[in-house]
Amino acid sequence: MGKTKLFEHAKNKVSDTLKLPKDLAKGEALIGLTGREEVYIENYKGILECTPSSVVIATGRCRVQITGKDLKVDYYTNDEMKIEGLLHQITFM
Amino acid sequence: MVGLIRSFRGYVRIRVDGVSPQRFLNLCSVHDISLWDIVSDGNCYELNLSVSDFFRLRPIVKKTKTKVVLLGKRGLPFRMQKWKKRKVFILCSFLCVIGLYAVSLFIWDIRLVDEGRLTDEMLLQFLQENGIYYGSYRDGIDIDAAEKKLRDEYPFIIWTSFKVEGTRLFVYVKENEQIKWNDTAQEDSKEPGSLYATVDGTVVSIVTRNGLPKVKIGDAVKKGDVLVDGEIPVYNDDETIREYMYVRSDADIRLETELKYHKEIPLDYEKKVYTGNEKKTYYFRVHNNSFSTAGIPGFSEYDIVTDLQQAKLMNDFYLPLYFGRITYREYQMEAISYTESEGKSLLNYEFEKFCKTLQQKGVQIVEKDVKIEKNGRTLHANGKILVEMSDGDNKPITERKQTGETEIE
Repeated sequence: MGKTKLFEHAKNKVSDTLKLPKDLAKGEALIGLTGREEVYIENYKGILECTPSSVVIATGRCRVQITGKDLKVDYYTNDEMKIEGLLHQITFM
Repeated sequence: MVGLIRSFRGYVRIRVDGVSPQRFLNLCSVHDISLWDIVSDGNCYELNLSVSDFFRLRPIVKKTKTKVVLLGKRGLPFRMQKWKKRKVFILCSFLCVIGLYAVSLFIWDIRLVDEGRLTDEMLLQFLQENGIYYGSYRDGIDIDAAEKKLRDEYPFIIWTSFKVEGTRLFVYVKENEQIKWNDTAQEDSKEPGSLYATVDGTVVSIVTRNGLPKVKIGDAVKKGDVLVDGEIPVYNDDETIREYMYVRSDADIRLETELKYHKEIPLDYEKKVYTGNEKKTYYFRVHNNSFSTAGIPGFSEYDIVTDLQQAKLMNDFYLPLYFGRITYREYQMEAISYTESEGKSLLNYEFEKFCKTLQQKGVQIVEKDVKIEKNGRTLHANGKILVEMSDGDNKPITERKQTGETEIE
């Protein structure tokens, strides 16, 4: 087992034992949906692509692609962003 | 709410164009610059940001090698710049707000909720006497004191509630139907008194609770006769009067008496016939000052129909502003005659109405003897109604006999 994997394993163990929230311990993104027209995202790193049909967001562990129609970023701050539009698909890449 | 705050502070809409506009967005996020309404057409982004954040963009623009174009300035600070040229408008708006606030401090509508004997006029007069009227200062109304005074003034009122909503005052009144209107003052009085007959008649029943009955069933009495005496003699063993006790007489007495009935109607009368000519004017009233768009019409005889409405903002914010329409309807008086049968049925109807009113007052009708006669062009209904009714008017005893009297309460 390499050093990185060992560290990752230990981190997982500690966070599981202490029951720490995954978003804090592992840097996972929090994604909340309201129907199929609103999506709230927290704990992200940045926007990689933003078009009316697709928004790609970089998170700590993967990329999240949201596809849909007439997509627009309602607000974008350091902590949270909200995307509005008709959602078709959310893909983790 | 957030939108309102943003508008209050002012914001700008910009277009970001360049090689990597996403990097621009991410750097803004890192530098705590809030962006909203971000729309992209694939090549460039349009977005909003606050005015203060706009001036922090220069290093980010340099770093990302993007081009920023200002599309629009929105919000109150920019609007104020435009309004500088419209000082009168701003002043009037400000005065309007001040005026509305001033108007909201007074009562402009009074709603009376009472299904009893107190008429709206009586209640309004009471309120007026106690400083509550259209246009009175809202915070100056002592609701508790007014409620108490209303209950004290009319003892048959068992519950009152005054409620101020906006510029409206609601007055709720609940009455006790058991207490008689005229007897309210006397009910509580314990002053010695005797019951007197108010009509001529024959005693049908008498139940005495207090006092010395002076009549018995079957006795004929005349108006003013004592029915129950509040002066009760107390005898010695040798049957001489030792003293008099004075009590307040109380009894249920029913008398059979004869009421005279007379009603006449002329067979010829005049009736209003509307000609169809109408004139409409608009009417405005500000508090007590009224204005109408035209003067009195040229008709000789007319009815005035007023349709008035009070202006209000929202549900409870009534204003001292009334508007409506006045319609003047011209009519002519035309001589019309009843036939004899029409006249008779009208008199019969009036008589039935009279009988119903008597019954509502608790008078029992024993016998009716009313005849209709024609005298020239007039019909007369004359007759007598034999009725059974409660009687007994309590009058205080003013002169007391000096024999070492005792008063019983």
